[in-house]
Amino acid sequence: MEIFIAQLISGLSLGSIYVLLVTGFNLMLLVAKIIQFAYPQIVVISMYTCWWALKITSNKLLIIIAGITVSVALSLLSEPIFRKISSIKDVDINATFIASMGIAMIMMDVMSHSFNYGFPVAFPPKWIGGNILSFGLITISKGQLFALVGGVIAVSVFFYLLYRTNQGRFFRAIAENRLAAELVGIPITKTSIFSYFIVGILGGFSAILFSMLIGSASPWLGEFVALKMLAVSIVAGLGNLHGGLVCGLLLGIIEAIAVGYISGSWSNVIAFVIMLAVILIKPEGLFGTKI
Amino acid sequence: MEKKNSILKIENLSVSYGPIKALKNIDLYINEGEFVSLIGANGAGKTTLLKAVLGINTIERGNIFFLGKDITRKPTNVIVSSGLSLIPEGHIIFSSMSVLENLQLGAYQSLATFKENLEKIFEYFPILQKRSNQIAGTLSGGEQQMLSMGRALMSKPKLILVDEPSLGLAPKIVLDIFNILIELNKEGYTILLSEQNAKKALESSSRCYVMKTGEIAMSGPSLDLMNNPQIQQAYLGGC
Repeated sequence: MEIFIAQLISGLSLGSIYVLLVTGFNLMLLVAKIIQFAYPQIVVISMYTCWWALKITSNKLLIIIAGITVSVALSLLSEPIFRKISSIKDVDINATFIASMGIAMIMMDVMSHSFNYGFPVAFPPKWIGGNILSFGLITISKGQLFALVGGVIAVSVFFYLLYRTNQGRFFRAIAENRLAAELVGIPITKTSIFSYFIVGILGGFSAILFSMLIGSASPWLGEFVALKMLAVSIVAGLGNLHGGLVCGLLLGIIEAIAVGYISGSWSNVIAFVIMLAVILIKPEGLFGTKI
Repeated sequence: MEKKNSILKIENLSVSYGPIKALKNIDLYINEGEFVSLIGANGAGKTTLLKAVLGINTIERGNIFFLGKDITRKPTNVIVSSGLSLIPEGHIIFSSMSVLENLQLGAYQSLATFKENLEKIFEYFPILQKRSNQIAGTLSGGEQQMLSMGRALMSKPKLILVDEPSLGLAPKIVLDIFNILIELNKEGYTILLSEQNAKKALESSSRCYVMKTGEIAMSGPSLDLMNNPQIQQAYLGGC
C-alpha cells in the first residue's frame, strides 16, 4: 500500500508535467493550427537556461524569469516560420509537423554539440531541495511537491484565461470555427501570435517544474518527452484540452505504478502499447478529437 | 437614385476562383437606411459578392468603398470593426459555447455598450434570453439563425449583410425572420439581403439587384421588378 501511495504521488507530479506539455501542444493545434513537435525541445532549452542561470545567481525569481523568457522567445521566433508554411497554397497541417520535427532535430543537435559539451546537466541541490516528507517507503521530494502544486496552479490559471477572459474566448472561437471567428471580427493573426506567447509561458513553467522534479536535463530529453506528449494528445483526442488533462495525469500514474511494481524500463512500452491500442480501437481518441 | 454619400459602393468588382470567373464587373451601391435585396439562382455569385465585401475572397479587380473609405483587400477583422456585419448562410455559430458567450463574441468591439445592446437583442429575440445559458449547439435551426443574427447585431453595425436567412428553415420561422429584418430596417439599420426566395426578398426590400452567372443582370425598385414579366417568368413562377 505504501508503495502504491508513493508511486501515486510521484505519478501525479510527473503527470502534471505531461498535462502542461500536452495543453500547450493542443493550444497550438487549435489556435495556431500547427503540430508543434518541437515544443518539448523548447522546454529543454529553457531547462538548460535555468541551469546556466543557477551558476550565476541563486535568486530563484531571476532564474524563473530567465527560463520563461527564453521559452517565450523561442516560441515566438518559431511563429513566422510556421505562418509562412501555413500560408503556402495547398499545404495542410502535416507540413507543420514535418517542419517542427526538423526544428526539433536542429535544437537537439545544437544542445548535444554546444551545451555543456553535450553532457547531461544535473541541477544543484539548492534548486530542488531534498525530501519534505518521509516515513517508511513513502517519501515526497520538494521537487515532486513543486511540480504537482505548480502544475495545478498553472493549468488552473490557463483554464481561467480560456473560459473567463475575452482572449480565451477568442482562442476557443478560432478553435471551433475559424470562419465565424473571422466574421465577428476577431483578429486571427494577432490572436494566433498571442497563443505562441501563452504557450511560451506554459513551456517555461514546465521547464522549471520539470527540472525540479527530475533534477537533470539532457539533449535527448526533449524528443523522449515529445513522443509522450504526442501519445497523450492522440489517446485523449487531438486538440481535446480536457481529455489531455485526464490522460496526462493518467500516463504519469501508469508510468509510476509500472516503475514501482514491474520495472522502470517497461514504463515506455506500456505507454506506447496503450497508445497503439487506442488508435486501433478508438481512432478519434478517448475523449474525441477537436480539430 | 444613388445619393452622394452612399454607405456602400462597389465599383467594377471581379473575383475569380482559379480559371472560373465568379464575379464580372459588379457595380452596386446602397444608400443609408435602405433595404436592398440581391436575388438570383444558386451559383449566380451572391454569396461570393458578400464574401468579397467582407474581405474573405481574394479580389481580382475593382474597388469597394464603405462609408466613403476604400476597404478593398483590407483584413476581415478591420472591415468588421469599421461597422459592417455579415450574417452568414447556414447559421454559423459557435456551437460548443453558450448563447450568451456567442453574443459576447459578437460584441467584443463595443464592450462599453454591451449591456444596452444585449437588452436590445433580447427584445428582438426573446427566445435568446430564455436560452442564454444553454449551449448554442442544442438550439433548433431557427433559434440558431436568430442567434447568428443577434450576434451580428451586437457589434452595432452600420450595414448588415444577410446571406440566405431562410435556408433550411420552416415557412413559419422564415416569416418571423423576414419580419424581424423589416423591423430592423424601420429602426434605421441598412440591410443588404441575399436570398434565393425572390418573392419574399422583393416583398421586403425597396430596391433589388438581380444576379446571373456572376453579373448584375438587372436592378431597380423592387416594385418595378416584381411587375417585370421577365423577372416574373424567371424567378416568381409566372408565365
